[in-house]
Amino acid sequence: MNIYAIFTKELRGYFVSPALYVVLVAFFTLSGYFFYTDIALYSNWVSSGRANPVEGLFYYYFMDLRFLLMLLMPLMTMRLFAEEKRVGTFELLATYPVREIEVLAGKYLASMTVLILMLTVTLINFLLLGFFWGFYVFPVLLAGFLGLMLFGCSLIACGIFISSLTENQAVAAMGTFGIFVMFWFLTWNEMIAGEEVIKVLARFSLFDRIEYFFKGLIDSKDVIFFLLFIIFLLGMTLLSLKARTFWKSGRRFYEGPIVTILLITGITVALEIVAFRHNVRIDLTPTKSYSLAAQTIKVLRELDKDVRFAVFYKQGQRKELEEFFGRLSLYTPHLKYSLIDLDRNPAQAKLQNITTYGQTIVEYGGKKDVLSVPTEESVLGLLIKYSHKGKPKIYFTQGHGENSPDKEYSVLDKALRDEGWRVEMIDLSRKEAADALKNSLLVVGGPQKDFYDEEIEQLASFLKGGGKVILMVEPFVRLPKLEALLAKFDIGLGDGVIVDSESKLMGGDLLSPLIPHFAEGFVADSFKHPAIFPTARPVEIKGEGKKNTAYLAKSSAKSWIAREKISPAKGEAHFKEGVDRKGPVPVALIVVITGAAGERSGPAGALLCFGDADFVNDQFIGMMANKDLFMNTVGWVVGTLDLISTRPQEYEYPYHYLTQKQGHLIFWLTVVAIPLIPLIIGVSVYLYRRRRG
Amino acid sequence: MIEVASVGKRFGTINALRNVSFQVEKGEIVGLLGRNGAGKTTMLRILACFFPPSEGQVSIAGLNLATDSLAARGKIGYFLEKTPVYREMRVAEFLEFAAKLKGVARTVRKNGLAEVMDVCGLDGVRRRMIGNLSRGYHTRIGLAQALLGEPEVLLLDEPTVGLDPEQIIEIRDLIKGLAGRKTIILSTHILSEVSQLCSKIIILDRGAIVADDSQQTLKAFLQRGNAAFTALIDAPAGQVVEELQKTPGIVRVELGQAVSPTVAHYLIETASDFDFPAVLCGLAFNNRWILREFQPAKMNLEEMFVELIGKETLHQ
Repeated sequence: MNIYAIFTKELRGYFVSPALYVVLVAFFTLSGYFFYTDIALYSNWVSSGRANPVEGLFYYYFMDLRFLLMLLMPLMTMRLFAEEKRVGTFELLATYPVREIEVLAGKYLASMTVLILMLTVTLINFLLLGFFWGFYVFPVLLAGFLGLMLFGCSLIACGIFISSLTENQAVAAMGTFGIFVMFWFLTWNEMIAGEEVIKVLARFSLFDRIEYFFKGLIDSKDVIFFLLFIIFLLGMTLLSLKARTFWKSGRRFYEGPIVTILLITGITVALEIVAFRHNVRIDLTPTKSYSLAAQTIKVLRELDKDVRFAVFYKQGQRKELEEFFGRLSLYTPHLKYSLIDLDRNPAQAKLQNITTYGQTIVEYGGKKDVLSVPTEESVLGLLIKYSHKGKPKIYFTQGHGENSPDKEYSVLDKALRDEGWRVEMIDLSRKEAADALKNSLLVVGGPQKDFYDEEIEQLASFLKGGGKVILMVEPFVRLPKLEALLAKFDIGLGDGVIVDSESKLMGGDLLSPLIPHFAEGFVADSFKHPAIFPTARPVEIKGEGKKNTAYLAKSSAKSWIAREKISPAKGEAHFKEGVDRKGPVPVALIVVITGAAGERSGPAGALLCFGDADFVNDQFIGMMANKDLFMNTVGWVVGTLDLISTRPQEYEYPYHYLTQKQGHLIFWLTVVAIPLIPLIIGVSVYLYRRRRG
Repeated sequence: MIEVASVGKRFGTINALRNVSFQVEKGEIVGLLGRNGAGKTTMLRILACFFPPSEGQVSIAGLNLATDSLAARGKIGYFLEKTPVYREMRVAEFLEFAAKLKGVARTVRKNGLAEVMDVCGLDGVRRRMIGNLSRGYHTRIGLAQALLGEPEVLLLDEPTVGLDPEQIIEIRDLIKGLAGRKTIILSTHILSEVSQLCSKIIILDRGAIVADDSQQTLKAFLQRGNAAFTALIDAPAGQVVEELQKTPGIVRVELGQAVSPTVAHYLIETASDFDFPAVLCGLAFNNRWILREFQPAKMNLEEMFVELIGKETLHQ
């Protein structure tokens, strides 16, 4: 009740004072102007092809707003107590039956309301963009505005505190501004302090803490830091308001202000440390830029020994690296990292043979590797390599016109190696192949010619002995012997080619069906996008109710099987009733091969068959979920990775730009129209009050 | 109603109050007298719970201020000498704000406000902005906020300063009207005010109580010094003082500033019913003094009183 009375009084005080309208007009004009110029800058970047709205526009705009708040909020908070003290009304309030905390809360909430008003109006700018571009990036704004709100509330807390210390409003405003400038400059120059000092300073820096909010990431430790900052300063304000009551009779030493200050400081620091250690992140970016793939998380969680990273970075990269390793550290206590400024530590770099920025020395259980740049994939590859010692080799067959890891599959080859797999080629016709194959994964990548009898035998015994095979076959290729082997396991290759009328919409052609359906437990719903198979054939399970076989992937319902070669360019892509078969068409299946009844059961073999081989060649592996599909399949088949999940992937932002008309609209609305509103209201209020006296 | 027991207040090395003890009964109006800096405002601030005493105990209406400050504040109306106001608020708006903070229930707030505004003569300016009103109005607003919420105790720090004579009479009547119903401590240095209103007087000097007495005692003081004159006389100073002091009816003679070796100012205090002009003319004629100026003392009675009290009590 008292809080409400003070809140409404303060709010009224704001809205009848010219100061508020001056600040609002300044804020709206500048925030509109910055928005307009930021968009101009962004448009430039977009036309050169290297910008997205989140990092190229929102981030910069939020940074500008942050600066404006820092400049203008102290003018809103300076009078809160300073004026009351100067005029003497503070004594009046202090002798009313009201607690100091109620006065403080009322005033704080009133300032917060003004802050919310200011931020709400800037939201209009974003809404405009939403109408032009769609609202899909709006979750990012949630983080940005949360950041601004926390920052603004910190400013208010600081402003109120300084205001409670002085009777001079100018001192209160300058003091607040000064404190924030100090926080700003804390990590301004990485050269001034050593690595350890910078680490501590960065922890105190409100400005370091806030940046990732603006990029769409909410870190609980940073939210809590801001809240603690606010609560601490409000606690200090309360002490300052009560200061006149400290010198009273019979007070024990522990009731004194110094003990209270120490206590509050201690609790604040303790809570901050706890929050820092138990961080939770919410990544609101559409690209999930600040999240890790489930697979990475799993590998991190499985770490049982310390892994150390030493990054030789270039100045300006520290914040990014800090964020990246912070992200990794969320899931394991075993990750240690140090960031070393290459330019300042040339001797150390030379000692380690480091020559370029970003090179990272990784040490794990006596092993040492050097990454060219620490990225999630490169780190994951190393960790998998470290964490699974007996990881099988992957052999690609050759001699039948297959795609080869050093030609058509070179990107796949690199991806596999990046994940720590060893990739080699094998000739099945040679006797020693049997020994080499033990405990490894065999990939048959699109044979054009049939296998020899010895090779078929080799394959059969490998499978029966618990071997794992991925077989990928292109349409219209005749492989009688291989097919005979498949028939023994009750599976087969279908005839014809799959036509998909929907595929064209997604940038493919009619003979490149989308593969949107995956069996549960295989890649269950974890892909955001379908895979796309350039020219695919059906695969089929013969007979019914077989427990050891299962379809793993199917094309869409809009697809069908064309029995003959067709040329879509000639308009032949029409479903022929009675000849063609309707989709969804199975394009991947698995058969698990256990020893015959009565035999000693060893590890089960598995044959996984794709009706296409091109989907992971250099041309198509980057499309849709193709790479994830294959990489996960490898892990799944081998059994080293139980979890199949989406691999970190490049999210494509739609191409956003503004037409000249839209640009003009933004200018007139945000730079001119919106600031006019407080101007008109302000002048009216001023005139009205002058007339009414 | 109010009990003050050996209260002291220090600001750093300055002792603003020293071992002050007094009691005020319910319904009494007490005048708190003293020169500037005597500790009147400090005492009132302690009573108003603005700050606690450095030593000693204070209780109001049975509530110990050290422990029940919040409840005690609810029973107090406090008029500040500086009459601080929120300049940007309107009169009615401010008083409503004050009423809310003082916990005046919503149901009686409107009537209470109207009554207080009527009593303090604020009806005509209720919609005016406080900042645009004169100091006299600020004083009335200060009084009005103190009266809000039917406080049992009123602490009034120089309530009639800055008011025109008519208003002063109104306010005094108002305070008189409250006698018996409310306990009032009135800090002032206007003696006539005290003599009209107060049943009891407490005189503070340099932080200590020098007198805590009834109205009768005060009257005796007042009657002792209610006539004074200044004169500029051209005559040997020693002779003038001697002759004047010999004269019955003259209470006190003080040699003031000398203008030349023989010409000097004199301050003469006489009994109130004494015909001093006639006596002085006779003396001048007899002793061949040249009387250059002669007039009733301009120094006001109140100041002289405080001056006297201060000096005498120090001698005791």
